[in-house]
Amino acid sequence: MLIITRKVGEIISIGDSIEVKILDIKGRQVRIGIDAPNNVQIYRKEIYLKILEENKKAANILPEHLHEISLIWDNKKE
Amino acid sequence: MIFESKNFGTLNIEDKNIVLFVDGLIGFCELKKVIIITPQEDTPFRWLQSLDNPEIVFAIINPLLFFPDYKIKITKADIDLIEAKTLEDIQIYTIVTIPDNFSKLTANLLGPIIINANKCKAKQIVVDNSSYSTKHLLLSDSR
Repeated sequence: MLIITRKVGEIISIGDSIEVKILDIKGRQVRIGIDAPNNVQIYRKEIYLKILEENKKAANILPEHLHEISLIWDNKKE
Repeated sequence: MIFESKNFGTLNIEDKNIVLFVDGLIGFCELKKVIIITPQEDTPFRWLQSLDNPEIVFAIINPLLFFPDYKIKITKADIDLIEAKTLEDIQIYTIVTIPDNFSKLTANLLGPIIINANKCKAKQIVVDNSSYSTKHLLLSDSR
């Protein structure tokens, strides 16, 4: 991992099209501004990982589940 | 095409019904082609069957049926990616997780799926709103 020390207001360029600017530092929190092309996806990593984990859990449906949850729906409607 | 699915048996799929996840699903980047199966029963559930892996199928719902206040922000880049021209082109689904206790079905409101059915393109997006989680109970006792 490349490690760079920056002050508030300073910028890191990544390639030709991405800039990361340190906007503010308060205690243990850093505010960061990112300029990147539209097609570059920027996520908070912990959210991305939560979705990934939930997708893995949701992917393994058994045939009986399919039937079962339809029944649950029927019961709830009544 | 003829497709042998694990849960639905042999499916005869027309090309126009194949939806492409341009970036794959999160955590399943190799899974790009899917079809959406509407069950015969009267149910809000749809099945998102992967065509790249016959074993993988997700239960999905229109989140607004269960969470009428659900709101997400879709970026211009994502709208362009699925080639939507207007908001009406975009359908929103969320994936449902089925736990051992079936009555505790949850919807993942943090990672909804946006689909442009006209162009058969889809994407799972990451919602940047801390009031949503990956586990919203679908059927609370009060319903």
